[in-house]
Amino acid sequence: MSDFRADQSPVGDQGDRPTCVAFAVGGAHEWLAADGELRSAEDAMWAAHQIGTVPGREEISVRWALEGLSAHEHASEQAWPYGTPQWPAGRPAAALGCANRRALPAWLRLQPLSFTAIREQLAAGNAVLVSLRVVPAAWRRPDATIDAEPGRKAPGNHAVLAVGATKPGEDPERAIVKNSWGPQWGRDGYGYLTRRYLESYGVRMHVLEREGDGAR
Amino acid sequence: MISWADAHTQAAAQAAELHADLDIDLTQPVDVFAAIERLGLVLAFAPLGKISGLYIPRGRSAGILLHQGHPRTRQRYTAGHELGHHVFNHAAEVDLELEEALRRGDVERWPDHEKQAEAFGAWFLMPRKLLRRGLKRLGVDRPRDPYDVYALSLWLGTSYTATARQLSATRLVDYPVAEQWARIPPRNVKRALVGEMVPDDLHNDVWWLDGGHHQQPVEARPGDRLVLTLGEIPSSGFSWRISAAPEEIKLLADSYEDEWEPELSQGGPGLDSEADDAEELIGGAHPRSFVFEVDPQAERAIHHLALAKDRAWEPDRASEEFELLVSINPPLHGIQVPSSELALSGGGPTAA
Repeated sequence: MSDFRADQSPVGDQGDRPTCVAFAVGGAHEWLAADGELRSAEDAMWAAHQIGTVPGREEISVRWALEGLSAHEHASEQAWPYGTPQWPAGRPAAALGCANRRALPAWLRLQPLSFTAIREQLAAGNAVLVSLRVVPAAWRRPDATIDAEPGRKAPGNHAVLAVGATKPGEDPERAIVKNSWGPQWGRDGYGYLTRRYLESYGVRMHVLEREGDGAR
Repeated sequence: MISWADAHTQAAAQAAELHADLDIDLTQPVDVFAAIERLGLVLAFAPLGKISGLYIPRGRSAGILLHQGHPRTRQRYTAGHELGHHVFNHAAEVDLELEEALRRGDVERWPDHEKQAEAFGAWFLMPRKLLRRGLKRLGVDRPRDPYDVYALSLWLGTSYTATARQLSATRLVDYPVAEQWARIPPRNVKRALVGEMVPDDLHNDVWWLDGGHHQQPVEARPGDRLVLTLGEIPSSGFSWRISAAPEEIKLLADSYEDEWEPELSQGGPGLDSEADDAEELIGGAHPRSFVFEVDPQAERAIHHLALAKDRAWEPDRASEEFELLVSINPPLHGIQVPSSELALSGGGPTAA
Protein backbone atom coordinates (compact mmCIF):
# COMPACT_ATOMS: atom_id res chain seq x y z
CA MET A 1 0.00 0.00 0.00
CA SER A 2 1.25 3.46 -0.82
CA ASP A 3 1.03 5.73 2.20
CA PHE A 4 2.07 9.40 2.05
CA ARG A 5 0.68 10.52 5.39
CA ALA A 6 4.18 11.34 6.62
CA ASP A 7 4.53 13.89 3.82
CA GLN A 8 1.40 15.81 4.71
CA SER A 9 0.88 19.09 6.49
CA PRO A 10 -1.07 18.95 9.79
CA VAL A 11 -4.71 17.87 9.53
CA GLY A 12 -6.97 20.94 9.56
CA ASP A 13 -10.40 21.44 11.08
CA GLN A 14 -13.09 23.17 9.07
CA GLY A 15 -15.45 23.34 12.06
CA ASP A 16 -19.16 23.60 11.30
CA ARG A 17 -18.69 25.33 7.96
CA PRO A 18 -19.10 24.16 4.32
CA THR A 19 -15.42 24.59 3.54
CA CYS A 20 -14.21 21.03 2.92
CA VAL A 21 -13.18 21.84 -0.66
CA ALA A 22 -10.96 24.70 0.53
CA PHE A 23 -9.21 22.40 3.01
CA ALA A 24 -8.79 19.58 0.49
CA VAL A 25 -7.34 21.90 -2.14
CA GLY A 26 -5.09 23.55 0.45
CA GLY A 27 -3.84 20.17 1.63
CA ALA A 28 -3.04 19.15 -1.94
CA HIS A 29 -1.16 22.39 -2.60
CA GLU A 30 0.81 22.10 0.65
CA TRP A 31 1.78 18.51 -0.15
CA LEU A 32 3.05 19.24 -3.65
CA ALA A 33 4.83 22.47 -2.66
CA ALA A 34 6.41 20.83 0.38
CA ASP A 35 7.65 24.22 1.57
CA GLY A 36 6.28 23.95 5.10
CA GLU A 37 3.89 26.81 4.50
CA LEU A 38 0.17 26.33 5.15
CA ARG A 39 -2.28 27.55 2.51
CA SER A 40 -5.30 29.61 3.50
CA ALA A 41 -8.66 27.85 3.28
CA GLU A 42 -10.35 31.22 3.55
CA ASP A 43 -8.42 32.43 0.51
CA ALA A 44 -9.51 29.34 -1.42
CA MET A 45 -13.14 30.16 -0.57
CA TRP A 46 -12.64 33.73 -1.75
CA ALA A 47 -10.88 32.68 -4.96
CA ALA A 48 -13.55 30.11 -5.81
CA HIS A 49 -16.28 32.69 -5.42
CA GLN A 50 -14.48 34.93 -7.89
CA ILE A 51 -15.25 32.24 -10.47
CA GLY A 52 -18.77 31.29 -9.51
CA THR A 53 -21.34 31.59 -6.78
CA VAL A 54 -24.90 30.47 -6.15
CA PRO A 55 -26.93 33.06 -4.23
CA GLY A 56 -27.45 32.07 -0.64
CA ARG A 57 -24.92 29.28 -0.79
CA GLU A 58 -21.47 29.45 0.80
CA GLU A 59 -20.10 26.17 -0.49
CA ILE A 60 -17.98 25.98 -3.63
CA SER A 61 -17.07 23.49 -6.31
CA VAL A 62 -13.61 21.99 -6.66
CA ARG A 63 -13.40 23.42 -10.16
CA TRP A 64 -14.15 26.95 -8.96
CA ALA A 65 -11.50 26.67 -6.27
CA LEU A 66 -8.86 25.41 -8.70
CA GLU A 67 -9.74 27.97 -11.38
CA GLY A 68 -9.86 30.78 -8.81
CA LEU A 69 -6.54 29.92 -7.23
CA SER A 70 -4.94 29.48 -10.65
CA ALA A 71 -6.05 32.99 -11.54
CA HIS A 72 -5.38 34.73 -8.21
CA GLU A 73 -2.73 32.50 -6.58
CA HIS A 74 -3.09 31.00 -3.12
CA ALA A 75 -2.43 33.11 -0.04
CA SER A 76 -0.75 31.62 2.99
CA GLU A 77 -2.65 30.72 6.14
CA GLN A 78 -0.54 33.27 7.98
CA ALA A 79 -1.70 36.00 5.59
CA TRP A 80 -5.36 35.03 5.94
CA PRO A 81 -5.98 32.78 8.97
CA TYR A 82 -9.11 30.67 8.96
CA GLY A 83 -12.14 32.69 10.02
CA THR A 84 -10.33 35.99 10.50
CA PRO A 85 -12.13 37.39 8.68
CA GLN A 86 -14.47 34.78 7.34
CA TRP A 87 -15.45 34.72 3.68
CA PRO A 88 -17.40 36.63 2.16
CA ALA A 89 -14.97 39.23 3.42
CA GLY A 90 -12.45 40.22 0.78
CA ARG A 91 -8.78 39.38 0.88
CA PRO A 92 -7.09 41.13 3.80
CA ALA A 93 -4.11 43.36 3.09
CA ALA A 94 -1.57 40.66 3.96
CA ALA A 95 -3.12 38.26 1.43
CA LEU A 96 -2.91 40.91 -1.28
CA GLY A 97 0.88 41.02 -1.07
CA CYS A 98 2.59 38.93 -3.78
CA ALA A 99 5.12 37.69 -1.26
CA ASN A 100 2.36 35.90 0.63
CA ARG A 101 0.82 34.10 -2.35
CA ARG A 102 1.95 31.01 -4.24
CA ALA A 103 1.03 29.82 -7.73
CA LEU A 104 -1.11 26.71 -7.91
CA PRO A 105 0.29 23.69 -9.78
CA ALA A 106 -1.44 22.56 -12.96
CA TRP A 107 -4.62 20.62 -12.41
CA LEU A 108 -7.16 18.59 -14.35
CA ARG A 109 -10.41 16.80 -13.85
CA LEU A 110 -10.18 13.01 -14.03
CA GLN A 111 -12.86 11.06 -15.81
CA PRO A 112 -14.17 8.54 -15.18
CA LEU A 113 -13.87 8.35 -11.43
CA SER A 114 -12.26 5.06 -10.40
CA PHE A 115 -10.20 3.47 -7.69
CA THR A 116 -7.56 2.48 -10.25
CA ALA A 117 -7.20 6.11 -11.34
CA ILE A 118 -6.49 7.18 -7.75
CA ARG A 119 -3.82 4.55 -7.44
CA GLU A 120 -2.21 5.54 -10.74
CA GLN A 121 -2.23 9.25 -10.00
CA LEU A 122 -0.68 8.75 -6.58
CA ALA A 123 2.00 6.55 -8.15
CA ALA A 124 2.71 9.38 -10.60
CA GLY A 125 3.33 11.72 -7.68
CA ASN A 126 0.12 13.71 -8.06
CA ALA A 127 -2.41 14.82 -5.43
CA VAL A 128 -5.94 13.52 -5.89
CA LEU A 129 -9.01 15.43 -4.71
CA VAL A 130 -12.03 13.16 -4.28
CA SER A 131 -15.63 14.37 -3.99
CA LEU A 132 -18.08 11.95 -2.44
CA ARG A 133 -21.69 11.79 -1.33
CA VAL A 134 -21.94 11.40 2.43
CA VAL A 135 -23.65 8.46 4.09
CA PRO A 136 -23.35 9.90 7.62
CA ALA A 137 -23.02 6.62 9.50
CA ALA A 138 -20.20 5.51 7.21
CA TRP A 139 -18.01 8.35 8.47
CA ARG A 140 -18.49 7.56 12.15
CA ARG A 141 -17.03 4.06 12.29
CA PRO A 142 -14.53 3.59 15.15
CA ASP A 143 -12.02 1.79 12.91
CA ALA A 144 -11.82 4.85 10.60
CA THR A 145 -13.05 2.80 7.64
CA ILE A 146 -15.40 4.76 5.36
CA ASP A 147 -17.74 2.16 3.96
CA ALA A 148 -21.41 1.58 3.19
CA GLU A 149 -23.37 -0.74 0.99
CA PRO A 150 -24.78 0.83 -2.20
CA GLY A 151 -28.20 2.43 -2.09
CA ARG A 152 -27.98 4.11 1.32
CA LYS A 153 -29.33 7.58 1.83
CA ALA A 154 -26.58 10.16 1.24
CA PRO A 155 -27.87 13.63 2.20
CA GLY A 156 -24.78 15.69 1.41
CA ASN A 157 -21.37 15.60 -0.20
CA HIS A 158 -17.80 16.11 0.89
CA ALA A 159 -14.28 16.56 -0.48
CA VAL A 160 -11.13 14.87 0.81
CA LEU A 161 -7.54 14.42 -0.31
CA ALA A 162 -6.31 10.93 -1.22
CA VAL A 163 -2.82 10.28 0.17
CA GLY A 164 -2.43 6.55 -0.23
CA ALA A 165 -3.95 3.45 -1.82
CA THR A 166 -3.64 -0.30 -1.78
CA LYS A 167 -1.60 -1.86 -4.56
CA PRO A 168 -3.15 -4.22 -7.14
CA GLY A 169 -3.99 -7.54 -5.56
CA GLU A 170 -4.12 -6.19 -1.99
CA ASP A 171 -7.36 -6.93 -0.19
CA PRO A 172 -9.41 -5.10 0.97
CA GLU A 173 -8.95 -2.34 -1.59
CA ARG A 174 -9.01 1.07 0.02
CA ALA A 175 -7.54 4.53 -0.22
CA ILE A 176 -6.16 6.59 2.65
CA VAL A 177 -7.84 10.00 2.73
CA LYS A 178 -6.94 13.14 4.63
CA ASN A 179 -10.08 14.68 6.14
CA SER A 180 -10.64 18.19 7.51
CA TRP A 181 -12.37 17.25 10.76
CA GLY A 182 -9.36 17.70 13.00
CA PRO A 183 -6.80 15.14 14.22
CA GLN A 184 -9.27 13.57 16.66
CA TRP A 185 -11.33 12.05 13.84
CA GLY A 186 -10.46 8.61 12.43
CA ARG A 187 -6.77 7.72 12.67
CA ASP A 188 -5.15 11.03 13.55
CA GLY A 189 -7.44 12.77 11.07
CA TYR A 190 -7.16 10.18 8.27
CA GLY A 191 -9.64 7.51 7.15
CA TYR A 192 -9.68 4.41 4.96
CA LEU A 193 -12.03 4.81 2.01
CA THR A 194 -13.18 1.47 0.60
CA ARG A 195 -13.39 0.85 -3.13
CA ARG A 196 -17.04 -0.05 -2.63
CA TYR A 197 -17.82 3.35 -1.08
CA LEU A 198 -15.87 5.20 -3.76
CA GLU A 199 -17.64 3.39 -6.58
CA SER A 200 -21.07 3.73 -4.93
CA TYR A 201 -20.85 7.33 -3.73
CA GLY A 202 -17.98 8.97 -5.60
CA VAL A 203 -18.87 12.15 -7.47
CA ARG A 204 -15.74 13.63 -9.07
CA MET A 205 -11.95 13.52 -8.97
CA HIS A 206 -9.49 16.28 -9.67
CA VAL A 207 -5.70 16.03 -9.79
CA LEU A 208 -3.01 18.55 -8.92
CA GLU A 209 0.05 17.64 -10.92
CA ARG A 210 3.52 17.49 -9.51
CA GLU A 211 6.09 19.35 -11.59
CA GLY A 212 8.77 17.27 -13.31
CA ASP A 213 9.05 13.55 -12.83
CA GLY A 214 7.26 12.93 -9.58
CA ALA A 215 6.74 9.22 -9.97
CA ARG A 216 6.71 7.37 -6.64
CA MET B 1 -79.90 40.59 5.15
CA ILE B 2 -76.49 42.08 5.89
CA SER B 3 -73.56 41.46 3.62
CA TRP B 4 -70.40 39.71 4.73
CA ALA B 5 -68.56 43.00 4.34
CA ASP B 6 -70.97 44.66 6.79
CA ALA B 7 -70.68 41.72 9.16
CA HIS B 8 -66.91 42.03 9.12
CA THR B 9 -67.05 45.77 9.70
CA GLN B 10 -69.34 45.34 12.71
CA ALA B 11 -67.37 42.38 14.03
CA ALA B 12 -63.99 44.08 13.71
CA ALA B 13 -65.26 46.99 15.79
CA GLN B 14 -66.81 44.72 18.44
CA ALA B 15 -63.70 42.57 18.64
CA ALA B 16 -61.42 45.59 18.99
CA GLU B 17 -63.65 46.90 21.78
CA LEU B 18 -63.52 43.60 23.64
CA HIS B 19 -59.74 43.35 23.17
CA ALA B 20 -59.48 46.76 24.82
CA ASP B 21 -61.99 46.01 27.59
CA LEU B 22 -60.15 42.81 28.54
CA ASP B 23 -56.72 44.39 27.98
CA ILE B 24 -55.73 41.52 25.70
CA ASP B 25 -52.10 41.40 24.54
CA LEU B 26 -52.22 41.29 20.74
CA THR B 27 -48.59 40.32 20.35
CA GLN B 28 -49.46 36.78 21.39
CA PRO B 29 -52.21 34.38 20.31
CA VAL B 30 -55.49 35.33 21.96
CA ASP B 31 -56.59 33.05 24.80
CA VAL B 32 -60.28 32.87 23.95
CA PHE B 33 -61.04 30.44 26.76
CA ALA B 34 -59.62 32.88 29.30
CA ALA B 35 -61.63 35.68 27.72
CA ILE B 36 -64.81 33.65 28.09
CA GLU B 37 -63.95 33.05 31.73
CA ARG B 38 -63.33 36.73 32.37
CA LEU B 39 -66.72 37.56 30.91
CA GLY B 40 -68.29 35.26 33.49
CA LEU B 41 -69.51 32.67 30.98
CA VAL B 42 -69.58 28.95 31.72
CA LEU B 43 -67.33 27.00 29.37
CA ALA B 44 -67.82 23.26 29.00
CA PHE B 45 -66.67 20.43 26.73
CA ALA B 46 -68.66 17.32 25.83
CA PRO B 47 -69.10 14.84 22.98
CA LEU B 48 -71.47 16.61 20.61
CA GLY B 49 -71.58 14.43 17.51
CA LYS B 50 -72.07 16.63 14.46
CA ILE B 51 -72.35 19.78 16.57
CA SER B 52 -69.30 22.03 16.91
CA GLY B 53 -70.62 24.23 19.68
CA LEU B 54 -73.58 25.75 21.45
CA TYR B 55 -74.28 29.16 22.94
CA ILE B 56 -76.78 29.43 25.78
CA PRO B 57 -77.80 33.00 26.75
CA ARG B 58 -79.29 32.55 30.18
CA GLY B 59 -78.31 35.49 32.37
CA ARG B 60 -75.72 34.56 34.97
CA SER B 61 -75.56 30.97 33.74
CA ALA B 62 -74.94 31.91 30.14
CA GLY B 63 -72.38 29.61 28.65
CA ILE B 64 -70.64 27.97 25.75
CA LEU B 65 -70.41 24.24 25.11
CA LEU B 66 -67.77 22.89 22.74
CA HIS B 67 -67.17 19.49 21.13
CA GLN B 68 -64.52 17.79 23.28
CA GLY B 69 -63.25 15.65 20.39
CA HIS B 70 -62.30 18.48 18.07
CA PRO B 71 -58.70 19.72 17.74
CA ARG B 72 -57.84 22.54 20.11
CA THR B 73 -57.49 24.92 17.18
CA ARG B 74 -61.00 24.12 16.05
CA GLN B 75 -62.36 24.40 19.59
CA ARG B 76 -60.85 27.85 19.89
CA TYR B 77 -62.33 28.88 16.59
CA THR B 78 -65.77 27.60 17.62
CA ALA B 79 -65.37 29.32 20.98
CA GLY B 80 -64.71 32.60 19.18
CA HIS B 81 -67.80 32.06 17.05
CA GLU B 82 -69.99 31.31 20.08
CA LEU B 83 -68.51 34.31 21.88
CA GLY B 84 -69.66 36.33 18.90
CA HIS B 85 -73.23 35.23 19.55
CA HIS B 86 -72.80 36.47 23.11
CA VAL B 87 -71.29 39.81 22.14
CA PHE B 88 -74.06 40.48 19.62
CA ASN B 89 -76.75 39.45 22.14
CA HIS B 90 -78.04 36.65 19.95
CA ALA B 91 -80.51 34.01 21.04
CA ALA B 92 -79.48 30.40 21.81
CA GLU B 93 -77.56 28.84 18.96
CA VAL B 94 -76.56 25.33 17.99
CA ASP B 95 -73.76 25.40 15.43
CA LEU B 96 -73.12 22.35 13.31
CA GLU B 97 -69.93 21.67 11.40
CA LEU B 98 -68.78 25.28 11.01
CA GLU B 99 -65.55 24.49 9.20
CA GLU B 100 -67.16 22.23 6.66
CA ALA B 101 -69.85 24.80 6.04
CA LEU B 102 -67.12 27.34 5.35
CA ARG B 103 -65.37 25.02 2.92
CA ARG B 104 -68.60 24.24 1.06
CA GLY B 105 -68.66 27.88 0.10
CA ASP B 106 -72.40 28.52 0.54
CA VAL B 107 -71.70 31.22 3.10
CA GLU B 108 -73.75 33.85 1.28
CA ARG B 109 -76.91 32.11 2.45
CA TRP B 110 -75.94 32.24 6.12
CA PRO B 111 -78.37 34.24 8.30
CA ASP B 112 -77.25 37.59 9.66
CA HIS B 113 -76.53 36.39 13.19
CA GLU B 114 -74.30 33.60 11.90
CA LYS B 115 -72.37 36.01 9.70
CA GLN B 116 -71.85 38.32 12.66
CA ALA B 117 -70.74 35.53 14.97
CA GLU B 118 -68.45 34.05 12.36
CA ALA B 119 -66.85 37.38 11.56
CA PHE B 120 -66.48 38.20 15.24
CA GLY B 121 -64.69 34.94 15.96
CA ALA B 122 -62.28 35.66 13.15
CA TRP B 123 -61.53 39.24 14.21
CA PHE B 124 -61.31 38.36 17.89
CA LEU B 125 -58.76 35.59 17.29
CA MET B 126 -57.07 37.01 14.21
CA PRO B 127 -56.89 40.80 14.13
CA ARG B 128 -54.66 42.10 11.36
CA LYS B 129 -51.92 43.08 13.82
CA LEU B 130 -51.68 39.54 15.16
CA LEU B 131 -51.69 38.01 11.68
CA ARG B 132 -48.81 40.24 10.70
CA ARG B 133 -46.90 39.23 13.79
CA GLY B 134 -47.45 35.55 13.04
CA LEU B 135 -46.28 35.97 9.46
CA LYS B 136 -43.18 37.76 10.69
CA ARG B 137 -42.42 34.75 12.88
CA LEU B 138 -42.66 32.59 9.77
CA GLY B 139 -40.19 34.89 8.05
CA VAL B 140 -42.61 36.12 5.40
CA ASP B 141 -44.63 39.26 4.78
CA ARG B 142 -47.47 37.39 3.12
CA PRO B 143 -48.33 33.69 3.12
CA ARG B 144 -47.02 31.89 0.06
CA ASP B 145 -49.04 28.71 0.09
CA PRO B 146 -51.41 26.57 2.19
CA TYR B 147 -48.44 25.37 4.26
CA ASP B 148 -47.84 28.91 5.49
CA VAL B 149 -51.54 29.24 6.31
CA TYR B 150 -51.44 25.99 8.26
CA ALA B 151 -48.29 27.04 10.15
CA LEU B 152 -49.87 30.41 10.92
CA SER B 153 -53.06 28.75 12.15
CA LEU B 154 -51.07 26.52 14.49
CA TRP B 155 -49.32 29.50 16.03
CA LEU B 156 -52.54 31.48 16.32
CA GLY B 157 -54.38 28.47 17.69
CA THR B 158 -57.09 28.87 15.06
CA SER B 159 -58.54 26.60 12.44
CA TYR B 160 -56.85 26.33 9.05
CA THR B 161 -59.99 27.19 7.09
CA ALA B 162 -60.91 30.21 9.19
CA THR B 163 -57.34 31.47 9.03
CA ALA B 164 -57.32 31.28 5.24
CA ARG B 165 -60.56 33.26 5.06
CA GLN B 166 -59.41 35.85 7.59
CA LEU B 167 -56.27 36.47 5.55
CA SER B 168 -58.61 37.62 2.81
CA ALA B 169 -60.79 39.70 5.16
CA THR B 170 -57.68 41.51 6.40
CA ARG B 171 -56.48 41.92 2.79
CA LEU B 172 -53.25 40.08 3.38
CA VAL B 173 -54.19 37.63 0.62
CA ASP B 174 -56.34 38.22 -2.45
CA TYR B 175 -59.85 36.85 -2.11
CA PRO B 176 -59.72 34.23 -4.92
CA VAL B 177 -56.45 32.80 -3.61
CA ALA B 178 -57.65 32.69 -0.02
CA GLU B 179 -60.90 31.03 -1.10
CA GLN B 180 -58.98 28.41 -3.03
CA TRP B 181 -56.78 27.69 -0.02
CA ALA B 182 -59.76 27.66 2.36
CA ARG B 183 -61.43 24.90 0.34
CA ILE B 184 -58.52 22.52 0.90
CA PRO B 185 -59.33 20.16 3.77
CA PRO B 186 -56.67 20.54 6.50
CA ARG B 187 -56.05 16.78 6.44
CA ASN B 188 -54.82 17.18 2.86
CA VAL B 189 -52.34 19.83 3.98
CA LYS B 190 -51.11 17.54 6.76
CA ARG B 191 -50.71 14.63 4.35
CA ALA B 192 -48.85 16.80 1.87
CA LEU B 193 -46.47 18.02 4.58
CA VAL B 194 -45.45 14.70 6.08
CA GLY B 195 -46.79 11.96 3.82
CA GLU B 196 -46.82 8.64 5.59
CA MET B 197 -45.93 10.31 8.88
CA VAL B 198 -49.35 11.95 9.12
CA PRO B 199 -51.04 11.39 12.52
CA ASP B 200 -53.12 8.23 12.86
CA ASP B 201 -56.06 10.44 13.84
CA LEU B 202 -56.30 13.23 11.29
CA HIS B 203 -57.88 15.48 13.91
CA ASN B 204 -54.39 15.71 15.37
CA ASP B 205 -52.07 18.45 14.21
CA VAL B 206 -48.71 18.44 12.47
CA TRP B 207 -46.42 21.04 14.03
CA TRP B 208 -43.97 22.35 11.45
CA LEU B 209 -40.92 23.57 13.33
CA ASP B 210 -37.47 24.85 12.43
CA GLY B 211 -34.51 26.59 14.02
CA GLY B 212 -36.63 29.71 14.55
CA HIS B 213 -38.57 27.82 17.20
CA HIS B 214 -35.51 27.47 19.45
CA GLN B 215 -36.60 27.90 23.08
CA GLN B 216 -40.19 28.51 21.96
CA PRO B 217 -43.21 26.82 23.51
CA VAL B 218 -45.43 24.46 21.54
CA GLU B 219 -48.89 23.54 22.79
CA ALA B 220 -49.50 20.07 21.43
CA ARG B 221 -52.13 17.44 22.10
CA PRO B 222 -51.58 13.72 22.60
CA GLY B 223 -51.21 12.12 19.18
CA ASP B 224 -49.86 15.27 17.47
CA ARG B 225 -46.75 15.07 15.31
CA LEU B 226 -43.82 17.46 15.59
CA VAL B 227 -41.77 17.84 12.41
CA LEU B 228 -38.51 19.59 13.24
CA THR B 229 -36.23 20.63 10.39
CA LEU B 230 -32.73 21.88 11.19
CA GLY B 231 -29.81 22.81 9.00
CA GLU B 232 -26.85 20.47 9.00
CA ILE B 233 -23.62 20.35 7.02
CA PRO B 234 -22.87 16.67 6.41
CA SER B 235 -19.37 17.54 5.21
CA SER B 236 -18.45 19.10 8.55
CA GLY B 237 -18.82 16.03 10.79
CA PHE B 238 -21.20 18.01 13.01
CA SER B 239 -24.47 16.17 13.36
CA TRP B 240 -27.72 16.76 15.24
CA ARG B 241 -28.48 14.29 18.00
CA ILE B 242 -31.28 14.19 20.54
CA SER B 243 -29.75 15.16 23.86
CA ALA B 244 -32.92 15.14 25.95
CA ALA B 245 -36.34 13.71 25.18
CA PRO B 246 -39.09 12.56 27.54
CA GLU B 247 -40.80 9.19 27.12
CA GLU B 248 -43.93 10.99 25.97
CA ILE B 249 -42.19 12.30 22.84
CA LYS B 250 -40.97 9.52 20.59
CA LEU B 251 -38.81 9.79 17.46
CA LEU B 252 -40.61 8.26 14.47
CA ALA B 253 -38.34 9.19 11.57
CA ASP B 254 -35.07 10.90 10.71
CA SER B 255 -34.76 12.10 7.11
CA TYR B 256 -30.99 11.38 7.16
CA GLU B 257 -31.53 7.73 8.06
CA ASP B 258 -35.01 6.76 6.88
CA GLU B 259 -36.65 6.81 3.47
CA TRP B 260 -39.16 9.40 4.59
CA GLU B 261 -38.69 12.99 3.31
CA PRO B 262 -40.71 16.05 4.35
CA GLU B 263 -42.24 18.55 1.96
CA LEU B 264 -39.76 21.43 2.14
CA SER B 265 -41.08 23.57 -0.68
CA GLN B 266 -42.36 26.05 1.88
CA GLY B 267 -38.89 27.45 2.40
CA GLY B 268 -36.92 25.10 4.58
CA PRO B 269 -33.18 25.49 4.81
CA GLY B 270 -30.92 24.25 2.07
CA LEU B 271 -33.37 24.23 -0.80
CA ASP B 272 -32.08 22.93 -4.08
CA SER B 273 -30.81 25.70 -6.26
CA GLU B 274 -31.86 26.01 -9.85
CA ALA B 275 -28.48 27.33 -10.85
CA ASP B 276 -26.63 25.20 -13.41
CA ASP B 277 -23.54 25.12 -11.24
CA ALA B 278 -25.39 23.95 -8.13
CA GLU B 279 -24.82 20.28 -8.87
CA GLU B 280 -21.07 20.82 -8.74
CA LEU B 281 -21.16 22.42 -5.32
CA ILE B 282 -19.57 20.34 -2.61
CA GLY B 283 -19.96 20.45 1.15
CA GLY B 284 -23.07 22.55 1.65
CA ALA B 285 -25.88 22.41 4.17
CA HIS B 286 -28.69 19.95 3.77
CA PRO B 287 -31.89 20.11 5.82
CA ARG B 288 -32.43 17.33 8.31
CA SER B 289 -35.94 16.62 9.53
CA PHE B 290 -37.08 14.67 12.55
CA VAL B 291 -40.64 13.48 13.13
CA PHE B 292 -41.71 13.09 16.75
CA GLU B 293 -44.97 11.70 18.02
CA VAL B 294 -46.58 12.98 21.18
CA ASP B 295 -47.73 9.81 22.95
CA PRO B 296 -51.49 9.46 22.40
CA GLN B 297 -51.80 8.50 26.09
CA ALA B 298 -49.68 11.38 27.39
CA GLU B 299 -50.93 13.29 30.41
CA ARG B 300 -50.96 17.04 30.84
CA ALA B 301 -47.37 18.21 31.37
CA ILE B 302 -44.64 20.44 30.03
CA HIS B 303 -41.64 18.62 28.56
CA HIS B 304 -38.21 19.67 27.42
CA LEU B 305 -37.01 18.37 24.05
CA ALA B 306 -33.39 19.18 23.27
CA LEU B 307 -30.97 18.50 20.43
CA ALA B 308 -27.28 19.27 20.14
CA LYS B 309 -25.21 19.54 16.98
CA ASP B 310 -21.81 18.09 17.69
CA ARG B 311 -19.31 15.50 16.54
CA ALA B 312 -19.48 11.96 17.87
CA TRP B 313 -15.80 12.12 18.81
CA GLU B 314 -16.08 15.54 20.46
CA PRO B 315 -19.44 15.43 22.29
CA ASP B 316 -18.59 18.33 24.58
CA ARG B 317 -18.07 20.75 21.68
CA ALA B 318 -21.56 21.46 20.32
CA SER B 319 -21.67 24.07 17.58
CA GLU B 320 -25.38 24.66 18.05
CA GLU B 321 -28.19 23.64 20.37
CA PHE B 322 -31.94 23.53 19.98
CA GLU B 323 -34.56 23.37 22.70
CA LEU B 324 -38.32 23.12 22.56
CA LEU B 325 -40.79 23.42 25.41
CA VAL B 326 -43.63 21.06 24.57
CA SER B 327 -46.77 21.65 26.57
CA ILE B 328 -49.05 18.64 26.25
CA ASN B 329 -52.71 19.46 26.66
CA PRO B 330 -55.03 16.45 26.59
CA PRO B 331 -58.61 17.00 25.41
CA LEU B 332 -60.77 19.02 27.78
CA HIS B 333 -63.83 17.36 29.27
CA GLY B 334 -66.75 18.74 31.22
CA ILE B 335 -67.17 22.19 32.66
CA GLN B 336 -63.94 24.17 32.81
CA VAL B 337 -64.52 27.68 34.06
CA PRO B 338 -65.38 29.65 35.99
CA SER B 339 -65.36 27.61 39.15
CA SER B 340 -67.79 30.02 40.78
CA GLU B 341 -70.38 28.87 38.27
CA LEU B 342 -69.92 25.17 38.85
CA ALA B 343 -72.95 25.05 41.16
CA LEU B 344 -75.10 26.19 38.26
CA SER B 345 -73.98 23.46 35.92
CA GLY B 346 -77.12 21.41 36.48
CA GLY B 347 -79.14 24.05 34.65
CA GLY B 348 -76.31 25.03 32.33
CA PRO B 349 -75.26 24.18 28.84
CA THR B 350 -75.89 20.45 28.97
CA ALA B 351 -79.57 21.18 29.24
CA ALA B 352 -79.54 22.74 25.78
